[in-house]
Amino acid sequence: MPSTHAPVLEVEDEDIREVTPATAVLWRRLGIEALPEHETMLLPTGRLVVPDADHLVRSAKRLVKSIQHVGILQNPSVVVKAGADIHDIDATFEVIAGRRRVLAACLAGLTVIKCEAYSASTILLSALLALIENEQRSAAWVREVEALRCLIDEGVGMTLDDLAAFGFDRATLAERLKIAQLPVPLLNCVLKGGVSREVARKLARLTQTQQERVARLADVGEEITAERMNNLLRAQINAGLEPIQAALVQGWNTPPSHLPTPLNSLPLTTPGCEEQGGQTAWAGKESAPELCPSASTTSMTSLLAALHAFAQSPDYRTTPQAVQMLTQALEQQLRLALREALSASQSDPTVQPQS
Amino acid sequence: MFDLDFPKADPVPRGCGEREPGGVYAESGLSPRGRPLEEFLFDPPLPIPEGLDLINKPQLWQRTLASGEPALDEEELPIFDLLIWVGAEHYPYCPDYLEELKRYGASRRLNPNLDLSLLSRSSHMILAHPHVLNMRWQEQRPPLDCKKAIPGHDAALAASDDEMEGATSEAEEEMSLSAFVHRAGGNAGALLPALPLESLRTGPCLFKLWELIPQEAAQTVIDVSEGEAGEQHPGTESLPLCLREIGSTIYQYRPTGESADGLVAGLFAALPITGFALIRYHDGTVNDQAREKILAGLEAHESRALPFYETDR
Repeated sequence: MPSTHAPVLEVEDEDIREVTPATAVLWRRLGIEALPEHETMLLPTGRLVVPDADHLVRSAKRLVKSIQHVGILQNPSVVVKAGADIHDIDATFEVIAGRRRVLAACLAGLTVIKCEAYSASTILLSALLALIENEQRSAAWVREVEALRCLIDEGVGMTLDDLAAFGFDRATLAERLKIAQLPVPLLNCVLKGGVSREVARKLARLTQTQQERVARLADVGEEITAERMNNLLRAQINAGLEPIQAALVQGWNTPPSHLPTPLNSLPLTTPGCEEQGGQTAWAGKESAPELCPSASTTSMTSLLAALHAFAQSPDYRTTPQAVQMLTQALEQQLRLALREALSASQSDPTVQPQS
Repeated sequence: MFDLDFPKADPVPRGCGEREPGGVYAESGLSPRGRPLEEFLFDPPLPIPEGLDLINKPQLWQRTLASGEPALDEEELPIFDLLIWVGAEHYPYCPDYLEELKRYGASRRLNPNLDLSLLSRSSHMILAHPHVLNMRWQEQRPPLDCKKAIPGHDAALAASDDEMEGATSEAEEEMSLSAFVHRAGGNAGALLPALPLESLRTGPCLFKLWELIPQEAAQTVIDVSEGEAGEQHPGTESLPLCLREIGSTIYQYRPTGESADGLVAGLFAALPITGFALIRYHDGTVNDQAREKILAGLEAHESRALPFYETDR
């Protein structure tokens, strides 16, 4: 008979009681000698209560794919919420660490989850577990970079798409991949924890030449600071934006001679821009000058009116969709052309701007 | 405080949808007293500087002079521009956005955490699109028309080339070149005599993008029989007239069938910012954080401050 159990994926055995130096520091700060007694148990998801679940569902969805592929790699921590003790078959448990993992596991269809179950909790314990989790998470990016570098070195030929299929966020992955491809001296610096994640991200955005320059500095013992990276990156981007910045600084005082006449153009403006242009100052108060409609604007207006009348007529609804779309397209084109023609009239030098 | 009668973007449904309650939007409104849109476009588009992480993250960027010094406005305050990514998920083709811009102006949602008080009337929104810079332009026909009339961009050049193929005498060659000089204006004149013909094409043209939109992207295709096709590339068959709808915009294009594979990300426009729109929540309030920053900007920039308005959509 086939098993009716929902898929429960193998969980890597990891002793949460193993204390890293960083965790030991946290414990000392909290005045804790050791973690309270707890047991690793398989618990039905129906007996797990996730506080603040509504706010976490969205971010939990990102973990669903990876849980489907490889399961939960770190057991969530739970504490008895209602019931005599952790062995009470009616006991319910509140998740105190790993809320997203539990939600994602539920979304992935798991019906039981391996958890670290505590019989009692205190605010201190919850805080401690949260800190441990965060501490582990904050170092996780370095491990990811290391893993990606390993994949690159082994030449396994995995693409971003392959990895994204596991549920990784593509942008984050792309960023980690760039960090993993840093020149060796810089990568070593990252893997040893010598630079913050922020600095590593900036390093990855530098050109290869700049990265090599920084690597040389690192080689001679110079500190790779966030400020230094900011300045380098800013200078690099400014160099790329130079043509735009130069044009903006210059303003639109002198339109290039090869530009078409305004008759062929569309008005788009800003107060500042109009001032820069020196054609018309924007005050927002002057009334539009009286316009003498030319023959072309008159015919355009008539055509527009005819199209509009057609679009409103009962016949329009029975015409093929292509005709309706063409009518709308023509209407929009005519409105544009009309606006351009009127704009050209207003740009006439006889129109006196207000300052 | 300021006059509310400033150019505003039309609040129509756009390619990226409708404006959302609580949103703060930078606008570039249309005005009958403005400058032609083409003046604000980069043709050819510019590559996105390496290291600029722009995708879906509008950001403020301080303008600098070539010397590296900060650019200052008339109030001696530093000028900040907005760098904005126009995503292909809403505007698969850059012309989708440009056609919308022509009709309704620009309205781009901002992160209210940005320090909007830094923006002033000197600020611009610099726009990028993932498929705007044509790396295969040299293998393709020049566009029928370069709206900026950049020398060496459009079909006037192709006409010159075609004429040149049959040109056997110096006189004929001179005539072709004259035609090109006339089309391109004075700027090209000084360059032409020194350039061999194959160098006449000066780069990818922004206006080629309309021709690279595939026919399949159209909602309606109208077959144009020979003789009714209007302007055509010299020597090409009649091109179908395609209508494409995006948001409230319907525009026409004529696909040449050439590949759009060579299109990469680039910067294509720097639009003046005419003001901010704060979209009201259902209870009538707006995003306070954004409002406060804009008000701080009004105080800091005084006469050069950007105006804002509150609206339901």
